[in-house]
Amino acid sequence: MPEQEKSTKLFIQSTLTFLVYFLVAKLSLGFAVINSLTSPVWPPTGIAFAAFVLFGPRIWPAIYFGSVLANITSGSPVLAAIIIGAGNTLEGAAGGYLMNRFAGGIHAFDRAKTVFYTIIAAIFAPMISATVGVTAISLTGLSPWAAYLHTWSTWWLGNVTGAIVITPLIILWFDHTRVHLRERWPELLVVVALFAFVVYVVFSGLLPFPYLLMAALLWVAFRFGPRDTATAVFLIGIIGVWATSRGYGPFYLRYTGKNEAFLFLQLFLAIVSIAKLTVAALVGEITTAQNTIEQREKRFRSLIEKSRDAVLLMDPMANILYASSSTKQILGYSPAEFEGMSGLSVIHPDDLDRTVLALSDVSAEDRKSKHIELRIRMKNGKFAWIGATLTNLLRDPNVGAIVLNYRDVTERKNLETAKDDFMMISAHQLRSPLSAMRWNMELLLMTAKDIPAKVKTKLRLIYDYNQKMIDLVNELLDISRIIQGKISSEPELTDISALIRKEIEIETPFAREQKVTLKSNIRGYSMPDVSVDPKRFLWVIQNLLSNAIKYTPSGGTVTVSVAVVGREVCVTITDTGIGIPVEEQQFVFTKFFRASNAVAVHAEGTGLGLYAAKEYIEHWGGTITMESPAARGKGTKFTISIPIKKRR
Amino acid sequence: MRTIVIIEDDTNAQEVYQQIFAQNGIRAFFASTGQLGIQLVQSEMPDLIVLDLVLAGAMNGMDVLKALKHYPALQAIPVLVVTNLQSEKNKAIEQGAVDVLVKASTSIDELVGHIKKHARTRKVN
Repeated sequence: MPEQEKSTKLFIQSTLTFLVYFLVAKLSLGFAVINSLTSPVWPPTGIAFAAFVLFGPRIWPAIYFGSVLANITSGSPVLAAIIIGAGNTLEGAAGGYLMNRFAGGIHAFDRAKTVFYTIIAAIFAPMISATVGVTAISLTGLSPWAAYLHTWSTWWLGNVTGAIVITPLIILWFDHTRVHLRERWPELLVVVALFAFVVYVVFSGLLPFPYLLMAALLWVAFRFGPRDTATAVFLIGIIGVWATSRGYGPFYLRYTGKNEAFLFLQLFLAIVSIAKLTVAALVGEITTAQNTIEQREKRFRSLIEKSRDAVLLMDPMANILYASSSTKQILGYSPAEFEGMSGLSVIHPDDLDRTVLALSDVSAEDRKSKHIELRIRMKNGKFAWIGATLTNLLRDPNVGAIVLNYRDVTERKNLETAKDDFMMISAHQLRSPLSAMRWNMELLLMTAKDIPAKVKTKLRLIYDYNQKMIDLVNELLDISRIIQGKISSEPELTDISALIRKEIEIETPFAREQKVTLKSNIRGYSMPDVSVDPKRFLWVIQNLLSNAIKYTPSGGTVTVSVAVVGREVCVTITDTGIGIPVEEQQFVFTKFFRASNAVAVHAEGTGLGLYAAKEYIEHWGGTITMESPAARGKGTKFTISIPIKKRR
Repeated sequence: MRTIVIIEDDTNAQEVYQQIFAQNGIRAFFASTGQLGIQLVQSEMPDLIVLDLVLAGAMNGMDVLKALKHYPALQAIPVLVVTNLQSEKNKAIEQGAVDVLVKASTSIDELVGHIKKHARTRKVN
């Protein structure tokens, strides 16, 4: 807001405050009994508090001059008025400061705790005004020193009540001027009627028990909130002051001195106000909390229910405790049917062992999570593939179960299987005639002695082309694997040391055949999980391992090591084989590359294995490197590093 | 004289095998289905079984491998898988095959070499 507008706003606020303060102060001084400047009824303190909270410290001149003028026009010497004015302004400033600092300013009456802090401010700030004021009037002779304590008490109690009754009134109306009572007007009518009745009964002297008023006020506090409570208290205050000054009501009847009667009324008002404001604040807090909880619950319920993925809560024995509504769409069971069932009873027998293993694995560690794909029997008896994540939240006080998030992946699985099947079948179908041709050719060339040389040459040519076709089919298979791997593979958290051990077992016979020693060096029983596609990772290792064995002359050694290095798992495959010529090393991971010395040993080979391996590994976030020292026959070392996804 | 049972449904391949084995002095028996193959193995007790993975009839090569495990007397007979189906290599070895050869990628010489290597030597009583 530009400076000009700010000043205008302040000017308007100050003028308003000054006028209101002055008028109300004048009116209040009208009730002064023991001396002309000490009134037991003093709303202006409340006005001062509210002004400082709502408009800020720059409102002080309005309060000051309002007070000074009110006192002077009530017969005060100028000196006294100036000092009293200072006291009142300080009181207002202190009250406003305390309220802003400790009670949240304009939100002071929304919570029981801040109501309490406001009461503290209302009790202590008026002590400033009382002390300054009574000292000033005693000094200027308007009040005897002997009556200091009595005068001080009157001044103080009047200001305290003014703060407690008037401050919430102003602040709460300032903030919420709308009257929401349209729907509740019957109740309002009853309350007002009750209120009026009780007020009449109490103040007319029929049943002069002021505490009857508490009953009507309690209703307001419970049902109508802080603002209306403050209003009700204020109304009782006005009626009380009016009645007492006219000589009616229980306060007048009980006390002989008017000052005392007013003081007793003030005390009553203060206590009632404190009690009811607190109740109103508490009721408000509880309602807000309940609404928030309800809203949150609705929101989360909606999130879970509307999500296409389904959520299941189970105990460690796989008994289903809760099933979200998506269960119906995915598996055909209604949540009610599914809940209470044993999850194990609907798992496909071939996937049961694997699933139980995953479940017990996850149950062993708080917050552990594992991804798994398995088949579940749907309501119609057929099986659906689901891709699920199991998370152990047994120890979480809000959940207390194992959470299974899952979605239907049948289509994808079928597609994958279909693709795999297609490739398999195609490769097989293409190879059958090719292999038949090959062997027949070989037989022919081997056995037929009397073929003319020219014919033999041509036959050899045909044989070579046939070999080329066989190579092409192999390449096709490799390429399709790479493409499939990049598009459809879903990495899972995998312990690759287990996979590598398996692969070593598989290659052991081949190694033995080649008279190559196969050594393994795997640190620890299990490794932290990495995120890879286990089938394709196995393929990569197989590729590297069989290459290492193939290209190592008999008597050599191939060593496989797996270890954790920093944040990665590292696999090295080292051989004492023919190595890769230095000038060709830069091409090792390129498509269709075959080292010249490799071709000499093994004519066949597509040159796609290492290219594919690198593509896969980088797809999983890892790196693969090769070392082959310059000296011939010093062997080759491949190093694969994959970042750890989950430690054990 | 070594004995081999070949479980293979491709007649062309059977012919080729016959020629190869005749040349190399190996006695060969042929079955084109898994069931017949197992019966043949039981009756002949060969030194080696050559098995294709794709077979006619209800059983495929993997089924044969699994079934052979149920006959303790036959456990000692090595099984060499010779097939054009490359993707099942690991599974076949897991099921007990001693090695897996891809037909199209194997020359006759290599085939004979493997057979001679893996065939068990019969104990002379």
